[in-house]
Amino acid sequence: MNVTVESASNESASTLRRRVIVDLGREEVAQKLSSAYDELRRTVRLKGFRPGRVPQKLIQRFFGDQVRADVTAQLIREYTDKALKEVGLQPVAAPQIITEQAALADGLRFSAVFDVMPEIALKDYRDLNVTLEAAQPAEQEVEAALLELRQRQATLRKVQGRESVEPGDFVLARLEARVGDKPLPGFGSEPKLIEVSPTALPADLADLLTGAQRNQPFERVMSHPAGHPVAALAGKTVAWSVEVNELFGRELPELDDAFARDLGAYQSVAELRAATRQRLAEQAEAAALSRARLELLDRIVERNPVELPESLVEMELAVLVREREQQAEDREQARQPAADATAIAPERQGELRSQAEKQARRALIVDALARELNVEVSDDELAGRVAEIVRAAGRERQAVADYYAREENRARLRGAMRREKALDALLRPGGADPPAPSQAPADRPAPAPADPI
Amino acid sequence: MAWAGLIVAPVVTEKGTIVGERSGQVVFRVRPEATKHQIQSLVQEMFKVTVVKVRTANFLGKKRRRGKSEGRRPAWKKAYVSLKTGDRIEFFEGV
Repeated sequence: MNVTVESASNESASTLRRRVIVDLGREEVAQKLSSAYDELRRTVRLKGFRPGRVPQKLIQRFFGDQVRADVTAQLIREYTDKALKEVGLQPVAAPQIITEQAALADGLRFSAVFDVMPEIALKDYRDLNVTLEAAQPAEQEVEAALLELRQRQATLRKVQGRESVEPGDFVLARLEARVGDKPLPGFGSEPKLIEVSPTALPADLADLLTGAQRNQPFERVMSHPAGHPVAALAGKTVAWSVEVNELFGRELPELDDAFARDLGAYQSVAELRAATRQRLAEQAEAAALSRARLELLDRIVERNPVELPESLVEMELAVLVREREQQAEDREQARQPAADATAIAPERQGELRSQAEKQARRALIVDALARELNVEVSDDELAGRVAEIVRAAGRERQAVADYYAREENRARLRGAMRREKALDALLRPGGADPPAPSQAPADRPAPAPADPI
Repeated sequence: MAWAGLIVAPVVTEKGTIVGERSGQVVFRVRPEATKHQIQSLVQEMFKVTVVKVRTANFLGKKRRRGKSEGRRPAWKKAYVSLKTGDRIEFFEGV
């Protein structure tokens, strides 16, 4: 194997781009090809021949293209790793492979093009004064959290003495939609229970139902805007046929000791209130810590300009795009009003790219900081964090445990913890422990651990 | 040539390969009515080789039954064609 390294900066604006050219001699390739044919010969079944007795010429004739492609891919995989080890370079992302000589009879020549990490010598990061301030939860916030708990435990009661729908009601209603002569899927003739509120329903549909009378069907034609949160209605003029069969109001449970005991872990309202206050305080502290870490990191980034490897930006961009698409899908499923359209508009892609560059820059700096400070995360620390996350996962405990049983997910968590530790070492030189994830109420999923960047 | 189509296909089997390697013979599936002379002339013309001997074997088609009706696969003939020393027929060239 003959390996040559070139700087590929003439092909890219980045000085971090490298090209490793690998030349494999005829003998190396012929040996690999021959062993691939031998392997296939043992198993191949061809009419007229017993297994293992098919002549190599016939195998070459029938399976040659496939074997050559497999051997080429295998050689590229194997020798790319060997070549990178030999030249001592670590690509940021999987290299792009360009095959230059693929006729295996004359050997194989290919090049791997990739970006390397920039060398970062961090400076001026110790004298940054970032304060960590977590405000205590106000009494109104505690009351709001308790109200939310009561709303989740509310029961529905039929509305007596009122025939028209008001905001906040739940209605059992038939909402049929037609565009021209065609019915819109998802809006059938079966009555459904619908919450008439702007948080649960798009505003125009909430308006449609508000004021409707019980058992008095009516029809209305509505034009929905192109950016409507329900994709099926976007930009369409729809003929609605509505019939409200029943009205329900939400009846909140009294905030008393019985309610606190129903929640399971508390004996009295005072205990519930204290636990809620503590949970809110922990959340505020965690949020403040997260803000402080970001502020500190951004200030270190400001003082240490680095050249970004293009492939790292591309990776961050891919993650952001995937997240946006996932959020858009979730909104569509929940039929929640969306602040933006579900598809990523071209003008937003530029915005996403600059966000990806920011993320990539933060990742490079925080990793350099962790190296500089010799921060490591031990197996015990990792196991402890996984146990905390699993404990806080409530009903999804098993799924979360399975997720962190996989090595790649543990490695990702270890990386995030290493970054946290590096930033915390600057934020709190004394070494106070960060707040543990608070115990979420049983019916609420645990917060996912977030990377500090 | 009026006999075109008498040679159906080369017989690519383990036995065909063995006789090819050991005795320089090439095996063809031919029409049952093809004679040795016709096979010799056709092979010489098609592959530009010299045929020194042709031996043939007739095969009766296998019995086949579908319900109560019984029939046979068509009968066929196999021809072992011996070539002059140094002549070769490559069915799988370029590999």
